[in-house]
Amino acid sequence: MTTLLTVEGLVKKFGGVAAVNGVSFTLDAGQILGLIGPNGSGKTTLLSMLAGTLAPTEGTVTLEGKTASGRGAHRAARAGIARTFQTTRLFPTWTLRESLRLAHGERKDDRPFWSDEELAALLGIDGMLDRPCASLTSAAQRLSMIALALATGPRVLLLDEPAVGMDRDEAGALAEAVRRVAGELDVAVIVVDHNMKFLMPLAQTVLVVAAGKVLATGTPEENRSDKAVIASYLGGA
Amino acid sequence: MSQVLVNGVFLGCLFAVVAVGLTLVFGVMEVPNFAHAGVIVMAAYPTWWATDAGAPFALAALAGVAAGGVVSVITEVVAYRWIIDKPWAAPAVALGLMLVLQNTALNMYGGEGRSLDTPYDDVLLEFAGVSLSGVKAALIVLAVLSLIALHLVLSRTSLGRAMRAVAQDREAAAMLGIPMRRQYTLAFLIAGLLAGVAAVAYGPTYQVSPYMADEVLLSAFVVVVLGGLGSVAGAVAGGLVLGVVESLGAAYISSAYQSAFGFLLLVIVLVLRPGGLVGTNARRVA
Amino acid sequence: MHTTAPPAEASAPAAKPERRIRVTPNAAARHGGVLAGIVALGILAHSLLTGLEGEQAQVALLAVVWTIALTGLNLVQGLGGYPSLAHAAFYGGGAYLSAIFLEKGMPMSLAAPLAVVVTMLGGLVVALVFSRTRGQYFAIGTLFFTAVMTLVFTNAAEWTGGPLGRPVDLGYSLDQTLVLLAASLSVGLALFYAMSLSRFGARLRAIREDEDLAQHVGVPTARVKLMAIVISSGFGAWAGVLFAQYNGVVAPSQFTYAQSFLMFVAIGLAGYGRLLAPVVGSAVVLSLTQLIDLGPGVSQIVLGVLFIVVTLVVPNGILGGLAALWRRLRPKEATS
Repeated sequence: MTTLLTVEGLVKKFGGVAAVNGVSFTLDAGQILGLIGPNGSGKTTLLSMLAGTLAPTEGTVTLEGKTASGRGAHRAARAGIARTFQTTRLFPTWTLRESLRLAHGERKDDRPFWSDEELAALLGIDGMLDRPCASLTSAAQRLSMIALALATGPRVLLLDEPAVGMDRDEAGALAEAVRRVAGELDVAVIVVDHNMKFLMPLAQTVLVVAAGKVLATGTPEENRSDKAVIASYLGGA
Repeated sequence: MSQVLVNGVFLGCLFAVVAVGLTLVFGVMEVPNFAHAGVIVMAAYPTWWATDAGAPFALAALAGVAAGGVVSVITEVVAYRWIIDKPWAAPAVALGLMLVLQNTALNMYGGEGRSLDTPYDDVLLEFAGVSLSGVKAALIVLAVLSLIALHLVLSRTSLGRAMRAVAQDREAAAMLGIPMRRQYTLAFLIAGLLAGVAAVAYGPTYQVSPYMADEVLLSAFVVVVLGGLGSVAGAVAGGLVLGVVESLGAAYISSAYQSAFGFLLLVIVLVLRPGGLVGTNARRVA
Repeated sequence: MHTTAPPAEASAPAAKPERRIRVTPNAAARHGGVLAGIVALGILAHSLLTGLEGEQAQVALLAVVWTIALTGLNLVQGLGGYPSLAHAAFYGGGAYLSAIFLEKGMPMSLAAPLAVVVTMLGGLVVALVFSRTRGQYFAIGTLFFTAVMTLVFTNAAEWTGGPLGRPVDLGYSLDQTLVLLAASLSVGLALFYAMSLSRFGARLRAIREDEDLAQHVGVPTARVKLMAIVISSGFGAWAGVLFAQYNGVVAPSQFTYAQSFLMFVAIGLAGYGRLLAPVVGSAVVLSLTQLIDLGPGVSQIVLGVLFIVVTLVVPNGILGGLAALWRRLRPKEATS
């Protein structure tokens, strides 16, 4: 597999305090990476830098050899990095179909994509395309947010706690959908979640961050037996 | 030159007192309180009315400060309280309140400017070739005293500490069990009292009219942007910087465009830092 | 959009969707109806302008001029949700600049477009500075811009005539002005309708719904806001040109930030982004401030209270509220 995304020495400081302090890793097309760590360890800040929401204080993000960081969210989106948010964000008075049309319209690439109906079927929200987003159930809203991210035609999809508030069946269906996105569209996926039963079977690789630094990388099995990880995160939770 | 600087300090103190009220309200509630100008007006008129009716100035001034506090709290209770979850409605409600307050003053007291007489009208301080009228000196003293009082309230009392917590992170403060409603009311009360201080101190140097506070409010907003929305210390520092810049511009370039120099400063700041000098991510009070 | 079949294991993802809006016969009929209504409004405006006399004619003029100006504001504030308080400054810019250019001996065919273009350049500067800022800063910055322009109108006396204003030479005959006013109202509304249906309109609405999310689906929000501000300044300036022609005199008090407030109130009261918001907004605000005399300040108090109540109770404004009511009363229409 070829390297799709290269993250080198990312640092983000807020008023002198480093929320992310020198994170580097690479990601292949179609790979699913789990990102875990205690609250405040810098996971969301890291995602925000990858997605262009925040400009890094230091370091770069390169996507297929081109710099993608620090150029604003809309350029990151057009370059092929899409994200979802921890709290649900949609265009509340729009229907999902209207929202997807906007996202399609902003694309400048000719990568393959799924139609609105296919996206909805993939995520299990068929029949909800034409209702105002604000009127959907909270689980459907979280899935709609992922559909919207996918409609931008991403090469890299960043999911910030996608399974929050979902029961086991819903989370299982979501995991299956994420696998298909990675497998069929060759999209690299980074998933942040606290729900280990959801994340561990899904992620091929797990990156453990604490205090803004990468503590460990490896397969889920390797991490589960790593004492430092258990001490810093799993044990402390 | 030193005369210009003294004028700058006078303006800066005025801006700081007004801006602190704006920034406090923004810090806890994220409202750009355009109605603050109306609160100043509604504090100035009772003061004028009381002195006109023969009350001693100190008493009239106290009444004015109290009126500022009351009017400000009323704006929170009848309007702002209902838009806590609708931040996009804030500018609209603020403008609506400003229309209401200013025109209430216009309706009750008429549109012509009134002069507010004080016992220290004829005082003129002179020192090393620099002169300062009594009314301006009184404003500086009142501003410094009230800002010190505010600092003590915010840093030494539990109510003040709770307010700083709210300004830093509303959700976290709510989880800690801080009663939010009371914090909102308190912020508006303090802002209103400061508006009252500004009114009774500024009124005598200018005049009392429904539009007396418009330009001051604009400058105070620039101060808030300079100092960062939600930062009291920033508001004080920004107030002094802006006061000096405006009085330098007025003295050496054109006095007619005094407040335009503030705008220029605002433009420069926003071009360099669209989120203000102190980003809202680092919001804090005191 | 494409069909349907839930993606089977081997289904190759489809090609890009087409971007063009397909015009169905149904939609064509609707667009036709809307345009006919807009033309009818222009004709009505013209007959009011020519038929009324005295103070009523003055109010009708203001209503038409305001509608033209507010159509521009309806892009920024209405569709985009950005509280622009610079609009009175653009309005004044068009009025003063056309007067100055006429005095310099330019023909009206040059003076009017030049006044609009120069004002739009001013709008571009405002947009470059403030389109990167978010809601609160934007309101404060644009408000301050209007205040500074008022200072300029008042103090640059050799150009503007100072606090008491200046006369405006006749560039159009009165008949021409009246026709232009009515035609501009219709053309302006039609342009707004087209823009609101275009991708530009969708992008602005997305910004109003959630600006961060809009960026993350690829909308270049700063550029879209910039365009909206510049276009809206053009509407404001053209309204100012026509106002100056009709009025014959321009003075700073006609273009203060109090005017900006009232324009903002008009759009907010009538309904953000609705096609008819400029018409309804100017009718409500002007009838309260110009037609009904309730004593000093009372009409503005009523406006302020009304504005707050509408903001709190019917956040989509009078037109939005009526539309919701209509849907409730005609449930069958809603599902079509």
